[in-house]
Amino acid sequence: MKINDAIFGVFFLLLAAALFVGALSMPKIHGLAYGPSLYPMVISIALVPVAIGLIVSGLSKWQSVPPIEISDWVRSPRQLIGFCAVIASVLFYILAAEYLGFWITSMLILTCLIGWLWRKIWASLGLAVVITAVLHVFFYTFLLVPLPWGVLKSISW
Amino acid sequence: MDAFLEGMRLVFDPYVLMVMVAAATYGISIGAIPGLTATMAVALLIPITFFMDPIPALGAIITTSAMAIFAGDIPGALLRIPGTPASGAYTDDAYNMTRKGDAELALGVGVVMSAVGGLIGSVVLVIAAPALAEVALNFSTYEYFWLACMGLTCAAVMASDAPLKGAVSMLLGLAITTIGVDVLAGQPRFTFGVTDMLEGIGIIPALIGVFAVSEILRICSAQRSSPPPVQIRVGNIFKDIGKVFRKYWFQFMRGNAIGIGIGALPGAGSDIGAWVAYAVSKRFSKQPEKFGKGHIEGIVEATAANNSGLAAEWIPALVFGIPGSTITAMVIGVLIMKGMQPGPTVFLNHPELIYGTFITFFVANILMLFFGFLAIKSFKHILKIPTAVLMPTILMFCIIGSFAMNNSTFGIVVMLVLGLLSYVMEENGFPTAPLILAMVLGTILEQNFLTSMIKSGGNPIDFLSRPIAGALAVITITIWLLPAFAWLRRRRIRLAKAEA
Repeated sequence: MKINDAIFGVFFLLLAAALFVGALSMPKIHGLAYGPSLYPMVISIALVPVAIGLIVSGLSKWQSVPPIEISDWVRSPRQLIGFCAVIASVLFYILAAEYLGFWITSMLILTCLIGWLWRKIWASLGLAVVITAVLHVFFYTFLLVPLPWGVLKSISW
Repeated sequence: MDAFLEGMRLVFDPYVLMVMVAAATYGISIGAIPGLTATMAVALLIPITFFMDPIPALGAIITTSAMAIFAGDIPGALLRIPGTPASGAYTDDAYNMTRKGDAELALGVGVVMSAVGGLIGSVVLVIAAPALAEVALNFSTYEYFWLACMGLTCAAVMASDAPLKGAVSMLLGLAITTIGVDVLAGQPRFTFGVTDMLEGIGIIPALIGVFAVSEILRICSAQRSSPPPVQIRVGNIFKDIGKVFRKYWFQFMRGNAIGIGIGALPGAGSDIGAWVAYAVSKRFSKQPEKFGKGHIEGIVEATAANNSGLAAEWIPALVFGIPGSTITAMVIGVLIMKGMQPGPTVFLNHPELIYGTFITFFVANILMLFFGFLAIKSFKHILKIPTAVLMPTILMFCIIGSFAMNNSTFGIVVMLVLGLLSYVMEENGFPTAPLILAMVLGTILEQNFLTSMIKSGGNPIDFLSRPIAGALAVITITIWLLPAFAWLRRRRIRLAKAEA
């Protein structure tokens, strides 16, 4: 998705304003001449000229570069689903891993993602089991990363 | 001399050598996995080193970090996903070389220049450690402030085709570092009541998001269903190294000097050295337009800076107990746990450990040639795996890697948000390197800026009054003004042409 620089400029101008207002609302620390608000304020002030630069640059090309240009791949359902599936997989892990555990969550994600991208359902299921097992042994057993067990807690090791 | 021989005996003990070989395999594996960094490799190794004596523990850390830093070049060159932040400086060049069918040269230069750079850095560590550290120790907050500004300026202005967008990216990174508890007063900022945000936005999940998740999104949304046209067969990686070295020996030496100079500064670290070396290489190159498009020159300079800086980082850590990077900060923690306070007294009380550490650096860098070659040869098999299998597997690695730093799902949230942000930025021509460097340097910049403001009572003259600070300020401001000069020059030429 291509966005005209002027729109980015407006966004960063708003971000600068939000940073500045947020910094202004920070409490003064007794005895500190320069408190926690100074640094965000300096950044917000520095953002203003570059945001204006983007607006000027974007407006100068407004005729040739539309405000928002949707990429071609968005019109292809397969590619669009592939893109959304990556985001959905990460969100699913964040929401479900604690309850379902690493094994089940990882196998579900890998089966769905590999299955969708590769179009080989049974092979994707087998790979999902193998990859999950390898990841678990490497990170949980060797590197001691406390991957969640979730509903499989009773058979944990 | 006795201490040196004792150091040799300690390092060439079969157990220590075995630990180093295991650490080399581990470091290469972690570094070569996209999204997993040398810092993470060392962090995950720390609990194991608690069970070791000082020399095997230090040997494991040195070998792991050296191997992981080099191995970061491999996925960078073959998948455009740098394994470590330092490799990010020249990933585009290495990947574009691979696409042109020059993977051997990109990877060969990576391993040889890293190993030789590491050896040069080790020599400097041995010979000049006290003198160099003394210079760095004399730096005050003013010098650190300008040094951080210079690093950021180089990334935003010099290492990018669009300085304006580079500056926006850098300021966005700095804005992200304001999230969390502030460095001086301990005041929460922009946390919106979320407890996980009090610690700020973790750099490791951010790196994984910016460099790995955005790439996965790009590949999964690409028009083609097959992988990008990278070279599958990696031939003799040592073939044209001599030719490249003869042509770019000056850049190689300059890269070493930059890596060592910046690595030896407390708090700077070798990652910044690689970015600065790449920016300097581009600035003074006869062919700057080729940078980022598959040109070897920047890789030679930055990869040498990577590993020479890695050794130099240990100078302030060993001599004065001041960490040069996150890795050496962890090393200091390990030494203290073993009852050794790093500092000048270690040289007097345990000289054999100091010599042992120096010798370990040499052994680790020699091991790198062999293990680097093996890693490159093995890594190519990953490319034979269909993208449809590789990308979901890398995504799971990224999820676990983001989780592993704090054992919290908040890291995964950060990874996803930064991944999407990076995707949108890159689609619209915003370089992401300044964003990451700003996130690494943000805290150092703020700490030194606020301390300097308090010391000077807000007087800007004090920021320039010390000779080194003044020189750094002049260099930084000159770099800021370069795009304006370039624009004026282009305008003058255009006007002259129009008049003609």
